[in-house]
Amino acid sequence: MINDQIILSKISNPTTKEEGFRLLLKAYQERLYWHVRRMVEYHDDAHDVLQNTMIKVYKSIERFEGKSKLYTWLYRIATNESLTFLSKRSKKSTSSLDDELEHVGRTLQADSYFDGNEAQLRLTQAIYTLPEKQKAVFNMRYFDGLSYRDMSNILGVTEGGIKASYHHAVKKIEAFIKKGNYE
Amino acid sequence: MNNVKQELEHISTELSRHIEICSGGYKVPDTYFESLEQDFTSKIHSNPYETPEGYFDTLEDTLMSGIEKAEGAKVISIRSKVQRAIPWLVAASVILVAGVWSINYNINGVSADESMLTSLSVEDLEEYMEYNIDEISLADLAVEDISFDEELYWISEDIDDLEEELLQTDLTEEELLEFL
Repeated sequence: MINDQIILSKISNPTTKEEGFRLLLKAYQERLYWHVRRMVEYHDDAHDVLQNTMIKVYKSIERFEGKSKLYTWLYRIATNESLTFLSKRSKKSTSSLDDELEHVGRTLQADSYFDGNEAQLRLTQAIYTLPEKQKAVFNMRYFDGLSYRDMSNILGVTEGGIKASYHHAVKKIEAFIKKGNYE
Repeated sequence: MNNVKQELEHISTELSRHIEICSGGYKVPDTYFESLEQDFTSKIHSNPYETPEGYFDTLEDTLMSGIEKAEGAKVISIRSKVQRAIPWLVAASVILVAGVWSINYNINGVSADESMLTSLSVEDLEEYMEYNIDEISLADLAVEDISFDEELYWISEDIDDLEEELLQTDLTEEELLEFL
């Protein structure tokens, strides 16, 4: 993987900015896409959120001072964009959580870009029920294997706060799956 | 990742039970459920989502193209539109006031405003002021030709931008607290 310093150095020079930004995209676009996709579920939404994320990154990358790791800064912007998107989506929605879960289940099963088995669908539904920030924490830990310290930098919350959030997320997922199993 | 696996032991157990229940009584190979739970920790970590074929091959170009479009589109904020309209509004107001005063003075020989003011009660004046304040606000909006919804949209965008700026600064937590 290309060094962040090389990417940033190219971006800081106006003549090589585009080349540098393309290197940044090559290095991080896929990871960021999956992070966003797990947050917003659907491919089209994930693509739009990723595009907005990258526009914001492009506009403000020169202000990045290197006090944090580049990928935590990128994750931070992508997470914020995803949370903003989810917040707007939930304001538009007027249906109950049960209705939404049923809808998510049906839509994902019909979605040609969802290839999960029964358990993965159930897990996806469980994650869907989490409050947005807990969802972000759970996904980053569970799928991306990020450390609590990195998540703390990304979300601007203390490590203790992240651990508590993750603990609650796991308990809620477990309870959701148990509820489905014994109903 | 091993820590994560330990943390999620309960979820794996419950998910494997879920599959067992979902089988709805159909037969499966004898050893199927014995191995299922062991496999789950790794299996459920796998990604259930897919993307259109070749999506990542063209993603870099698609994103760059989106960035170029966004960079090319100059968005004019309501604030700058209002600022640009202020000199015209001031000039129009001056011409209007001067014109009305001139007509009144020439017709009556004395200022119509003067004679009107002496006959107005406090309530009349208050009502007049209130009416005119509303008129001014509506006129400003009419000049901008922006609906109430659009106004709200622009304001919310400003808030989003401010929020974005705060999030995109890589300040440490202490620096941010100090700043606030």
